[in-house]
Amino acid sequence: MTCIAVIGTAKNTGKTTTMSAMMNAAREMGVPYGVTSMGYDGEELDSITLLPKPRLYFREGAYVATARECLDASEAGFSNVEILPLDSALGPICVATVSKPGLVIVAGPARSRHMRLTAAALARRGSRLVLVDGALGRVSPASVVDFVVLAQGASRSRDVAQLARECSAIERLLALPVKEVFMPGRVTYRAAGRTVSLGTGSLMDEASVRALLHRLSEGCGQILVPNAVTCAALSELGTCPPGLAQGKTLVFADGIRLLVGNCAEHSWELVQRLQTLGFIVCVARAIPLLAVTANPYYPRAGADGTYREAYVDKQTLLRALREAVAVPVIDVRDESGRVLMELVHKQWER
Amino acid sequence: MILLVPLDPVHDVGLKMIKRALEEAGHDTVLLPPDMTPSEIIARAEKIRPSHILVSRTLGYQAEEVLARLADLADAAGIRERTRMIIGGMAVRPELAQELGFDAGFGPGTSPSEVVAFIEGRPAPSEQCEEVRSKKDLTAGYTYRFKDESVGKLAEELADELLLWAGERTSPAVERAEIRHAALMEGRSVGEDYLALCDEVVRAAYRTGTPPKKTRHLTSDEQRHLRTLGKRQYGASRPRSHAGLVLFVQYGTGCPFMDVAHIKAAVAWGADGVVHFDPSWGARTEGLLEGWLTHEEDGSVITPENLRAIREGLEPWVLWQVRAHRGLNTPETVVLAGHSGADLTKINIAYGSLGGGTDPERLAVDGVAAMRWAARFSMPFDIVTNEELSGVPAGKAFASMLVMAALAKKVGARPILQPLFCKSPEVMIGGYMSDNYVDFNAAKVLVLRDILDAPVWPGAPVGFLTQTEDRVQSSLTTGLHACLAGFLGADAVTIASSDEAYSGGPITAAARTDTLTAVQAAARFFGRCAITLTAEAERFRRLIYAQICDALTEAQKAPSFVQAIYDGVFGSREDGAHPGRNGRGTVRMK
Repeated sequence: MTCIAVIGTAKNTGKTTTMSAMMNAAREMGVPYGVTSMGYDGEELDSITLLPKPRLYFREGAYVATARECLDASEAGFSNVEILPLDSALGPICVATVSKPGLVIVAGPARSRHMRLTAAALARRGSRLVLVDGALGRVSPASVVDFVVLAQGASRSRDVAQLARECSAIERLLALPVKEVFMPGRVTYRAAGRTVSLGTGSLMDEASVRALLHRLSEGCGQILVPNAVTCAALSELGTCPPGLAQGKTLVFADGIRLLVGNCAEHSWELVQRLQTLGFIVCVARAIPLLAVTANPYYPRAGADGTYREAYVDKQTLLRALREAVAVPVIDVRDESGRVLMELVHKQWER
Repeated sequence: MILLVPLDPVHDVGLKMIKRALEEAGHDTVLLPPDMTPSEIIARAEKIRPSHILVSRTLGYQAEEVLARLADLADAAGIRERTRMIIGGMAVRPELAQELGFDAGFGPGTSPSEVVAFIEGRPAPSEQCEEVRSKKDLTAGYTYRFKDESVGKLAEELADELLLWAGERTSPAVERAEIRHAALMEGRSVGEDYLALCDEVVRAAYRTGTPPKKTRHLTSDEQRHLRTLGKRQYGASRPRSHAGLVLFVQYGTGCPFMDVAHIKAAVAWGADGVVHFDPSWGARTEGLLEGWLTHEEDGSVITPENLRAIREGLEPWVLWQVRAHRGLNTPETVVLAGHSGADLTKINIAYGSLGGGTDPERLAVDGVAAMRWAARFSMPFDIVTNEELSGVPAGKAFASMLVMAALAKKVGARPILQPLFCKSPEVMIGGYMSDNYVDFNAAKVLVLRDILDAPVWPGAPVGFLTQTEDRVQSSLTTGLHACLAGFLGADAVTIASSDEAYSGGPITAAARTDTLTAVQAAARFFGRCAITLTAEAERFRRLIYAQICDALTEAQKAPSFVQAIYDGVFGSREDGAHPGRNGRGTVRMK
């Protein structure tokens, strides 16, 4: 089973449209697939802008993991409903087979561990491909998937150059070199022949980093950070004396952890500063970026307080993103599903 | 340990109330200062390892991003396996909590005790209510004993006479009810014997499959959507606080799909029961139709299929009334209502004859049969007195209502008294509401309570002719009338929508929720306060009582109860009541 998350940098960047395109393409190619979401897909109108939102339409035979309340309220019909021991704000998560086509409200797990169990349940059903829809700019549950597709759009910013810089930063953070190590539960380093752990699994603030730096010695070679790391912590790590940083390997769990907080550009600048200092920055597990989908749409607020559909120039956006990243950049509305599925097939062929 | 996070620097009152409730329940809490960043909050959470993080925040576009970041960071930090994350605020709904990545969301109207219950893994107090929320029997505990023996004696004698009189007679509707019952028992359509008792328009509909004008069959797609909608459960999203009153709203958009949508909206806004309105031509036409029928105008056609579809759309605790009171299909409607699982129906011979357009002799025969069917289905019915709206004095309407109640008791049925709360022509001409709307309406309930031990359900709907085209005014006056029913210890109340009288077209669901909201706000405002009536209330009580006694005494002098209706004893032409003509000459001796 291959699990792919469609993550975005904000609301309305094209995540659900990308999901729909991939679902259609998977079906056309005869790939059994299952779908879940790290948030909630099902609103007809955006709660803030009141503009229409795309919905997920399921064909017969597809698999879905969603909250029980959502099964009841969906238009599609379901069979073989299995209730997983995983809670959500809308009741327990269920896995079901779509027996009658229609729109489905998809609300899946918000926690990484639950996402892993849910994807496994969809795989047991027979999904060769599991697609996870993101929510807002949330990415953390994607730390259990195999690949991500980034939905970037003008809803994040009308500044196309900034969108391109952000895409580039995300691609680079997801492409950090991999050092396959066992990740302990806490921030750990080796010094003077023994393993030392901090009281935390994350580097959340300056204080936790200062505690780490204070104890680091030149003899220490590898620092493992299993959980979260914030920009504030990365910034504080940048105050490490170059002599101390030189040759030390900083291993984060995966690239997704560096995207949490939704400030990829800043994170990438800080990682580069660490590299300049002499740190070797790695991740324990690769979660490669498969492609970027570009969406020129954004909701524009009018003087009367209502929102209207608006677009940046699509070609300018595509050009800017293509110049910024190495992975394919696809127009969200233009054959994106087929192209993305071809990329998935290439991965399978490897 | 529970970590309380006011992300909103101003609106943290709710969080402070919850903090107090949690501490009273023995939980340790830490309230963070406002305006901490998500990473600072999660850093604190890593240190104090709370079982729950409660975040309060009013929402805007940016707020969603901040909250999503907080949930994401908590997950990335690995603390969510031991810490559940809860969001509360004015715009929060469970769906939003889900989208933001929280474990639960609490919106407006949440009580601190609900949050404490969630944290302790208990059903919320409202859920506890919901679990035991079952259909209330409005008639439970009532003996139907006439407390006023002299009035009781008169009413019972008139009821005895009517029973004997009706026992010798039958009508097409009485016979159709038998045929319909047999067909429903056998799960089949009615046959030619039924059609022989119907009007041509109904016969044509059965024989050619062409429904009457302004109606059409729902397509199979529409039927499917209707069933899907019916299965959706929205629950009661609002706390119920109408002082023990069972709150009914009316529906009858013409379209069963819209009916179910309106019912679900009304129930989600706190309605306990719904009343089915059929088209007015249904009362003037011999015979009921079959099939999934939608009607272009007001009133939803009564067919076995339509009623079943609507039944499927009702939450299990919602009381459902199908009215049978006024027309040429009264007993058969009770049969259909009973077979469709209705909880209540509506029957009144005098009102149907004087305000509903049906011939008194015909409706007397049909009404007695309908009451017997209601007894067979154990289906209580209200005795509505809407003839007051034609100008019949309240006391005269009550006199016939009390005869109906006595009759119902004799056939083993359970009646509910339904006085109007309205600014009727009698009131306007007599100036009875020149000071307030309370005294006269209160006098009605007081007088009925003095006479008979029976449930009282003001309706239908309350506030007739006090509402204007202004929706705020309409909602307010509806809310106050409903509260008056509560003050007077009524068992139920039916309310109108805020555009009921002035819609000039279909009533909107929003107009229904207007008045439901108004009732709850008014009930919340008064709480357990009482009202003081002026001395006028006692004067009105005596006036109505005298009208009742006079009418019953007068009726006894008439050759029969039915003749008393023709003679205007329970409402005369001078009052504004005219005996109906529909079905005249169709009664025959058995």
